[in-house]
Amino acid sequence: MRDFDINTIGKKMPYQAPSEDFFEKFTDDLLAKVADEQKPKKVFSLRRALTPVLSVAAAIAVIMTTLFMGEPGDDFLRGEYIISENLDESIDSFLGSLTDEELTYLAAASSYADDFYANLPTE
Amino acid sequence: MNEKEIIELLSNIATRNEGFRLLVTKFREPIYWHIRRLVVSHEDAEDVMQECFINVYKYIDNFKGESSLKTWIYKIATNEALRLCTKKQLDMDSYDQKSRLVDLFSSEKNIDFDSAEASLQRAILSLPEKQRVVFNLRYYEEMSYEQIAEVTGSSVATLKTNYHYASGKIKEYVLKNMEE
Repeated sequence: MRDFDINTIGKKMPYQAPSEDFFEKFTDDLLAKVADEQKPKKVFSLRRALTPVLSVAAAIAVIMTTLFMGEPGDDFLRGEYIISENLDESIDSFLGSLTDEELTYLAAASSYADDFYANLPTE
Repeated sequence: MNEKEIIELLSNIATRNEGFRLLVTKFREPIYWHIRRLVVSHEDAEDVMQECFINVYKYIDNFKGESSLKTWIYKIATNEALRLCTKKQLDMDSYDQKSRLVDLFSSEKNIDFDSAEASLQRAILSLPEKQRVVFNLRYYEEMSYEQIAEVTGSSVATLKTNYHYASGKIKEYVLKNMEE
């Protein structure tokens, strides 16, 4: 086999060189990409996105439970039931604590002040 | 601008982007050709080069100056190029022991396939991966064995052996082609 020196071929590449502006354009695109990656990205928060939806859903659930599922004996409603049961007693107690002046003012300010039937003299 | 000045700019957050621009400008052409010699196609070379420089930017804080900036970038570029070769299965075909890179090279446009340069390139592309990398870094980039060791992580003795085998195979290949 003949001896042969690889170095005689040289370092020229057989490939066609890229276009003249290739490296400039590559650099511009790369720097733009890097700058873009540096920008703080908006982090999608499932909790944040669902908060309004969950709030509305919770409100609807409470309303539905109150309207359709509640029985006077239910724990949830028991408090309100007790309050409504004792409402007359509570009002009497409240009115009893007022002075005569306060009662006169309250009667004058009431929307029933001019009500004919409400103001019928008691026997 | 030399490596030291670029490293100083890169190490400061305020001047990092300017340092990176200078780094890309300095290394883009040699890195492109190094990658092109490994992956053959221009499009793949462009993709790998972009990935390489993005990794340089991303991991610049990991660069501790234990090697030169040049060999560190070449290491990233080489790894990315070889990763693409593996992904595209461009290396040795286990059936006929022929590199698909040679076929890819033969399908390139605007190449004078009768030229000595083309013959040399075909010979290099038919080498096993390690020998191909070592030969390219030594022959085209004119790196010392110590620098190639920084790029490849191999010992100098192994690299010398690889280069010796590669040169022998290339001579044989080119001479055979010249005689045909």
